[in-house]
Amino acid sequence: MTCRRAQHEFDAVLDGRNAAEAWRHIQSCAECRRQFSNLDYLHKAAAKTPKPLPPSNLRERIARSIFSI
Amino acid sequence: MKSAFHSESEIVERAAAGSRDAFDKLVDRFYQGVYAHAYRILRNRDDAADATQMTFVKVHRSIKEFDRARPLKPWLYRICGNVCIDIARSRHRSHEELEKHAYMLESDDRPEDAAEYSELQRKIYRAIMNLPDRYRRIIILRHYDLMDVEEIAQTVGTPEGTIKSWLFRARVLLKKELAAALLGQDGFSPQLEPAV
Repeated sequence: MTCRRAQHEFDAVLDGRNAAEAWRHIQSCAECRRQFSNLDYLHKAAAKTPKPLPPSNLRERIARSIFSI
Repeated sequence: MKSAFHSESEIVERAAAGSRDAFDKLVDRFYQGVYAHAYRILRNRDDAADATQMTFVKVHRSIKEFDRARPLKPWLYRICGNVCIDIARSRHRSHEELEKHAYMLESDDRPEDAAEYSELQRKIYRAIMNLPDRYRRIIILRHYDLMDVEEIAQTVGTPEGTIKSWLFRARVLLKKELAAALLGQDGFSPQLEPAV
């Protein structure tokens, strides 16, 4: 597997999906290991970012716009 | 008596059959995520609320046609994405002054300035917001909405192979933005160029 092909499979590896070949490549290639580590770092930091909260009346607005017609 | 819904497919099936209770459950399950997605695309609270409302109106109108063999989330986010594009276009068409629709590029309504964002999260968010639209959307879907490549492909209506290429290119751009910003952060290695 080439580095580029492995990098196209990074997301599958992150998600723990069928990517054994890419994972083996990451284990054996210092550059891909570094790239994957950076991606993992970014993914975790973004995932922990607080979600923007909707206005408190939005749920009611949605229901009204659909069911009060 | 309220009926209990256990699975997404059951909720969709009953909502498509006209159950208000089921549709309410669908909205309850997804509206906060849809709002967050719209907000990250439009970067304006009022527009994101409008987009969320319009998304569910459209979903309600067309849920009978939804293919229940497919997951719901990509379909919802696809509708939301199209609504966001319509809202952004209407802002341009109505000739509002530049400052009012410049949020598509740089907003005064900056979620990353919220106190609960760490400095690191702020830097990452800003770098992502600086990406070209196409890349920004798929990076948001991947890293904030936590979709996998298959779901992103269904949401955007683009083959998985293309999504993988776009993610790859988006990350090359992100690395350039983030290398300086994240230099010295534990766990981040600053070398720029991807292997070929």
